[in-house]
Amino acid sequence: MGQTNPPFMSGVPELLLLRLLAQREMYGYELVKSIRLVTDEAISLGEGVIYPVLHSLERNGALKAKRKAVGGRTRVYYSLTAKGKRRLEALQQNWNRIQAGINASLDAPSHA
Amino acid sequence: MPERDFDMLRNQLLDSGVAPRHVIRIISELSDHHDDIEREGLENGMSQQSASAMASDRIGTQNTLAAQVICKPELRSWVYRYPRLARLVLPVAYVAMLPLAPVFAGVANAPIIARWCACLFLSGLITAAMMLVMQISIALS
Repeated sequence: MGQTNPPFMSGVPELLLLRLLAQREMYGYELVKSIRLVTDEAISLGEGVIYPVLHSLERNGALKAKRKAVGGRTRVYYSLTAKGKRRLEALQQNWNRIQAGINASLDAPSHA
Repeated sequence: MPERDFDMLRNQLLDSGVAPRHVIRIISELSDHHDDIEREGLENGMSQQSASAMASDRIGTQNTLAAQVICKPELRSWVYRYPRLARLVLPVAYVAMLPLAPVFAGVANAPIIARWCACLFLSGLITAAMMLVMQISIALS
C-alpha cells in the first residue's frame, strides 16, 4: 500500500465518496480508481477502508446500495440519496471554510 | 489478502459485535475488490503471485480493516448498540421461543432425525417379519 496520511484524512474519504457518487452510481473498486484519478494520486487510501465508510453512509441514509449483475459478477453499486446530497453540501461548505482559513493563515505576513 | 485472512477478519468482526449483514457484505466486497486489483496486475504483465501480493498490500491488513469497521458504532448489531434494551427484551424473547425449541432443533438436525426415523422403521419392520415367521412356524408345528 502506498503512503497514507490517516489522522488528517478524517472526514476526507466521506467527502470524496459523496462527491464522486453525486456524479453517478459506482461500486467500490471503481470509486477507488476514481479517487486516484481525480486527486492525481495525491490522496492514497488503504483501499479496503472505503467499505466501512460506504456502509456507514448507507446506514445513515446518505447512500443507497443496490446489487447488480455485471459481466457475470454481482457488484454492489452505491448511489447518493437526497439526504446524501444535503450531507455533501454541508461537508463541502465545511471544507471550504477550513481551506479559506488555512489559506488566510498562509497568506498572512510573518511576524518572526 | 488470502481467503484464510478474510475468514479471520470475518470472525474478528463478528466477535466485536458488528452486525452479520454488514460483515457478510464487507467481506464479499473486499474479496471482489481483491480480485479486481489482482486482475489489474495480471493485465499489466505481473505474475499471479506478484499480483496477489499487490492486491493484499493495497486492500490493507486485517487489523487495519477490522479497526476501521469496529470504530463505527452504527455498523454494530442492535444488541451491542442498545445493551440495556437487549437485556430487557432477549430473556422475554427466549422464554417465548422456548416451546418452539424442539421444532428449531428438528429443523437444524433434520438429516440426523430422518436417518434415525428410517432406522427405527426398518428395525420395526424386521422385528415384525421375525414375529410373523415365528407365528407361522408355531402354527405349522
